[in-house]
Amino acid sequence: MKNVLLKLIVAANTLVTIGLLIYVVRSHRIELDISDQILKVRGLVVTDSSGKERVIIGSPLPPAQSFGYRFYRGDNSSVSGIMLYDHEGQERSGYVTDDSYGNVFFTLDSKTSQQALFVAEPQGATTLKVWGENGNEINLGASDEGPWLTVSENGKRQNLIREEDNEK
Amino acid sequence: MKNSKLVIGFIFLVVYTSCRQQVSVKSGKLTGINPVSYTDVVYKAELDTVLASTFDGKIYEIINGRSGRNQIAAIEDEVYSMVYDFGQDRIIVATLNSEILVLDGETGETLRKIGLKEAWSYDLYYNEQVGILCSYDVKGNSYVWNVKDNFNTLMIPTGLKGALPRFISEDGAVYFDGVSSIHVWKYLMNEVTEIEGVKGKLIDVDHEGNCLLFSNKQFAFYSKETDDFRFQKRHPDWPMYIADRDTTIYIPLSLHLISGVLTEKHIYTCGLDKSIRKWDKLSGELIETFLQHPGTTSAVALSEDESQLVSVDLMGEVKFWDL
Repeated sequence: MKNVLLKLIVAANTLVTIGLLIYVVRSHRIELDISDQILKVRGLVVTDSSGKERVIIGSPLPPAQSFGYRFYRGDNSSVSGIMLYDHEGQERSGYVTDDSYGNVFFTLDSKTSQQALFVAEPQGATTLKVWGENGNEINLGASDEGPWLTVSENGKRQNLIREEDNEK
Repeated sequence: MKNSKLVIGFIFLVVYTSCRQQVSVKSGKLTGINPVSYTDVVYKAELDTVLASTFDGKIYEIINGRSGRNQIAAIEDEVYSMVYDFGQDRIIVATLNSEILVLDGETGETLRKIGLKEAWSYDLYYNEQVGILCSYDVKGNSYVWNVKDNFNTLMIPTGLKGALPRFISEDGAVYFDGVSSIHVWKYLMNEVTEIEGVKGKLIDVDHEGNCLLFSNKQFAFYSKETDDFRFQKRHPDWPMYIADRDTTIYIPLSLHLISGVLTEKHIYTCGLDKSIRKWDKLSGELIETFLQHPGTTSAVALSEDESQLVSVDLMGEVKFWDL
C-alpha cells in the first residue's frame, strides 16, 4: 500500500515538474500584441542597423547638433515634434512646435544649414522661405496685413508684389 | 503535520513567485546623436597612437595597423573636443553637461573639472610648451587657463570681447578670431596685434605665423611675410563613389569645408565631400586627393614631426596617412 502511494506521489511530482518546465520554457517567448492599444510615451526613436538614430518623435526634442557637437539655439528654444537624421546622424529635417512663442515649423536642412522653412505663427501669419548661398532667397508669405513675395539674388532683393519696395 | 503544511505552502509560494513572468521595457534616451561618429582625434604618442572621442562620451586609444581599439574612458556625457597633455598623461575634454574635464590618460578617471560661465564649449586648444589651454562657450564667452598654474584663469583684455580663441603658438601668443580680423594676444607682455581684412574662421596657424581660414566652401591662406591672402581655393569637385559600378564619379560642385591643417610645405583640407585634399602652400595648386573615408571627416590631427596625419569621420572610421 505504501509502495503504491509512493509511486503515485513520484508520478504526480514528475507530472508537475514537467508541467512547470514546459511553462518556464514557453514563458521565455512572449509576443505582445498591442495593435489595438494606444501608446502614451514621451519619445520614440527609430534607429538603423548600426544604432544611429534616424527618426525621433519627442517632447521636448534634444538640442540641435552638427559635426560632432551641439550648437546653441538660444534660451527657451525647446521644441517638440518629429526630427529626421541622415545616415551619418546629421539633423536634416524637423516638423515641430516651439514651447515659447507658439510657432509650428517644417524645416529642410543641408548638411550645414537650414535651407527651407515653412512656419505658421500663432496669430495667423505664415511664411515659406527657401535659401541658397550668396544671398539667394525666396520669401513667400501672408498675414492680416497682406501677402508678400520677395526674391533675392546675390543679396539684391526684389518684391514681386509691391513694386515700390524694390531696391533700385 | 502543521509544519509539513507550512513547508508545502512555502514551497508553493516560492515556485509561484519564481515562475511568474516579469516583463519590463528597456528605457532609452532621446539624444539625436550618432553614437559611432568620432568627434575629435589627438595624438597620444609621436606617431601611430591616437585618442579618438565619440559623440556618446567614449574615448578610445587607437594604434595604427592594429585592429580594435582600447577604451580609455566612458563619460556619461557627450564629448566634443579633446587635447592631450603628454607630460602629465592627461586628457582634457569639452563636454555638453560636465563642462571641461581633466581625465587620467591611462585609466580615464576624472581628475578635476574646470567650470565654464554659462554654457558648454565644443572647442579646446592647448599648447603644452607654454602651458596654456583655451576655449569658448556657445554663448561667446572666451576662456584662457594657465595649466602650469593649477588651471588659473587668465584675464583676457577687454578689447578681445566677442573674439574667440582658436590657436596658441609656441611663443605663447593666443590667436583670437574676430568678426573680420584676427587678434594675436601675447599674454606675457599683454600686447595685442591685429590682422585685418580677414573673412572666415581661423583653422590653423603654422610655425611662421601664416594662417589657414575657412569660409563655408572656400579656404584662404594668409601669408604673414607679405601680410596678404596668397590664394583662396575650393575643393574643385565632389567625388561620389557608386557602389553598383565600383567607380567614383566627380561631380563639378564644391561642398563645405570642415577641418584642415598646415604643414611646412602643404595645406590639408577635409570637407563634406568626404575627401582630404593636399595643396601646395606656395602656389595653392592641388597636389593630391585622398578618398578612403566612407563618412564626412569630422576632425584631423597632425603628428609632431608632421610626417603623419590622422583623420576620423562620422561613420566611425579612423585613417592614418603617411605624408
